[in-house]
Amino acid sequence: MTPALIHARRLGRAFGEGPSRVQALVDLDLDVEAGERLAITGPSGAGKSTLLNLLGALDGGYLGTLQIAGAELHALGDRQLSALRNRTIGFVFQSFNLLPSLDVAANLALPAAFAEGGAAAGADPSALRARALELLARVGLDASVAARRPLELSGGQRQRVALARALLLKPALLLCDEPTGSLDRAHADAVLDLFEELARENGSALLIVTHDPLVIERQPRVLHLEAGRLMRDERRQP
Amino acid sequence: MRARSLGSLVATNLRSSPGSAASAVLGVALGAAFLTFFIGLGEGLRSRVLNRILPANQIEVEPRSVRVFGVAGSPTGGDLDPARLRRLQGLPGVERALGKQRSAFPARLWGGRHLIGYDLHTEAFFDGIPDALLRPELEAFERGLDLGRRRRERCDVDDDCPAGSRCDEGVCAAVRWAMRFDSRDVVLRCASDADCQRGDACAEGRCLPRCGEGDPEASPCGAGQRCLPATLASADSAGDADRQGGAPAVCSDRCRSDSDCHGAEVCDAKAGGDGLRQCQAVRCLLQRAEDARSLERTAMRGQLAEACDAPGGLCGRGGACAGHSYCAADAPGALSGRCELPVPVVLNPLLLEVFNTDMAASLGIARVAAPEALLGVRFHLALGDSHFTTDAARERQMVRQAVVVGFSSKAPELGVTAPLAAVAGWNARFSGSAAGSRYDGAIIETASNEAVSATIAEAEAMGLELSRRSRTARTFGTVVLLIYLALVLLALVVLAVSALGIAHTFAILVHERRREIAVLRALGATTRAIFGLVLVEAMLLGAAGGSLGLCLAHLAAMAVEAAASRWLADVPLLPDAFFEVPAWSYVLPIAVGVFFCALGAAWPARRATRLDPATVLSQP
Ligand SMILES: Nc1ncnc2c1ncn2[C@@H]1O[C@H](COP(=O)(O)OP(=O)(O)O)[C@@H](O)[C@H]1O
Ligand SMILES: [Mg+2]
Repeated sequence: MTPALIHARRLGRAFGEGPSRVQALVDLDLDVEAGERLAITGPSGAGKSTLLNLLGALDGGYLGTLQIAGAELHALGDRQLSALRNRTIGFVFQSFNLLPSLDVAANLALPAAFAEGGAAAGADPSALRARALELLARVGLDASVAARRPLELSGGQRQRVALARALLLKPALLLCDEPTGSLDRAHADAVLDLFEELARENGSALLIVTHDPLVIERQPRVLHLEAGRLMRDERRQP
Repeated sequence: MRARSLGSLVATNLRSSPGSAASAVLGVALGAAFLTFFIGLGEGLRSRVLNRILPANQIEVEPRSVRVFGVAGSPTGGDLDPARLRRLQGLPGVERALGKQRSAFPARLWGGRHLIGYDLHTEAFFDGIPDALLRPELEAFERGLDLGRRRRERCDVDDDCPAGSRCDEGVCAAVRWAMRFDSRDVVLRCASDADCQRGDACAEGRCLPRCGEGDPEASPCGAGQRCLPATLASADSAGDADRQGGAPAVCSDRCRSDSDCHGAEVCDAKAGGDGLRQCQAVRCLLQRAEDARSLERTAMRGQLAEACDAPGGLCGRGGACAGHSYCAADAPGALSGRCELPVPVVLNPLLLEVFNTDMAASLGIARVAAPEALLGVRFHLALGDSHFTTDAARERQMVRQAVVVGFSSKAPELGVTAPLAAVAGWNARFSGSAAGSRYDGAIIETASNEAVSATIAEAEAMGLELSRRSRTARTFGTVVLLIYLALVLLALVVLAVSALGIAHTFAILVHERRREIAVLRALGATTRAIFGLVLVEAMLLGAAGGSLGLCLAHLAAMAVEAAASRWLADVPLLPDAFFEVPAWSYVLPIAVGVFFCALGAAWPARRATRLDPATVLSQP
């Protein structure tokens, strides 16, 4: 039996010491299977970003158990955690996903630059280029965008580039922290359509942190967080 | 992480913050330039000034003497004889110990007519130095002159050619003057064993080393020499050998052709018992007694002679002394003589400076343009003759020619430096056999610079002391080394300060780029990759700064050299260049720039790895 993509038990995260100690996440149990789609919602300060950072292996300071693709994160060293972020996880943040000093093509290729061993898509530079251009076309961007700088692009275009980059090495888990938070309604819908579509094509599990009821409505599973606790884990037929 | 992607990321980072990069580079460039400049100057001074006087691994020792009111008394530590020289040679760490002798007889010299219009006369003092000690420096000096550069010029006589070169078959050719500073070409004439050094015997009118006694392994004979009974060495037939059993054996030059012989000697026509022949002096006759004091070509070369029944026993047979040789009279006033090569001598460059700056002006005579103008210049020596003191017995006096073959700071400032064999032989002739084997000093060469102090202590325990020259050189060397180290330290301080600047710049850069660094971590960059990214960027800046420093240092050195050659050309004793530019001095500033930038950026780079990507990315 293949292990669950995400397996968390009594997962907790606290910040600070003494009286200023904040319990950002408390005793959270969660299992996510490959290819699942979830929305994570809750009021501001509920611990959504904290949870996403933990699931993305960006933050190792948790309590309890957290296994990604069968591996307990506490047991992994820097190299293994980096490899996990590189291969298994794709990130899209609300803003500042792209390095302003690199052009779009270079930004797109970054995950391949950090890929160890080179067995993946990044091994062959020409194959990598082809995949990057294909993804760029797939997220609805013209090939001419490849040579532009992030600051020359609109917010929607940047999030599309960030999505393309997150998918470059075909991650099993796509984590998005309010990816449409800084976009207007029309763009947000289009970008979201793309996220869902591409995650499905790719076989990636998709976790989206969002406040947007329209986004929540479209997901088959919704996690409600409040004050660091998982209040509801809703599953439904969309 | 792939090197190319890392490289392009670093390059873009550098391009995106040109201001801070430039200021950081400038400090490193300055420090690297200082370091390169000072090291080039220090190395140049050490090799061009200090090592010319006495290399760091050489010392000169003398018998300790009592000085009363500045007058040197008799040595208290005993003589420096061959036995003590061997003891010095046997000290641990000593590569070789070579004896020196000063002349212990009156002498005069005169010459210069060709150069300055009339002959200068002066009392002559000789220093005998082993040729092996001087030859390397003479060769280096000659290479510096580049005598061969106008080799192609056509000529009829030597005067058509640039100073220091000669006319050879219609074209000017470089002369390897240094090779002529060779003790084997010194022929010491004698009438009896008493004229020769202790250990030498007089055979066929010349002093030759005795051999065949004691340890056959320690034979004094050189390559190409044979140990033969003295009478056989001079006799006409090998058959006499048995009859002369009591005669001492001497090292005799054996030859197949004239080129095997030294000096102006030729290979005898008659073969000995072993099929080899013997080197023999060429007899000659001067036309007039005054010709012994002439430098005119035909007069001084005389006429070749052979035995006959004429009064004096010699008759001319046509031809003259060949090549560079001249007819050296057997005794003052005598017409008969033997062809000899002029005694090769070396002068201290200061002598030329003193002549040019003081004498030429006060005497109203022409200055000698360059040292090479003196190369090959001949003058006369009257050995045993003096303006001031009692002369040697007239029949022992000799008039000989000398030729200038080079310049050396190891030669005493006032005096003439000749091969040790010549001075030792003359000392024996004029002051007795013992004088020929007593050294006035010894040059000791150690295997390493570190062995010098121990060697000095050993020599002092033997009753010897450092010569004034050696003491001065060591003091001067220490002073130069201290100044050199102080300047290098200063350069290192500048570099250390610029490393602090780099640390500051990169601390700011890392802070400014914390979001980018967090994104890279989210994409799978290891902490090592982040560290490398920052460090490589700093090292590239360091390489750029180092290269800039290299250019600055070399420009500054060129400017100093140009200024020196323009403004200090007339100052005596200055080297022709102050800087030494070894190959590593091209790599050094770049390596130093890279190192100090890496050093400065190490802490900010470490901070970059400590950034918590989750926290950074959560910040608005
Ligand atoms: N690095 C941190 N240091 C201290 N407190 C933090 C940190 N990150 C988050 N918190 C706190 O944890 C709680 C949850 O924050 P967060 O996960 O960002 O909420 P959400 O994303 O749901 O708005 C908040 O009270 C926040 O102040
Ligand atoms: Mg949040």
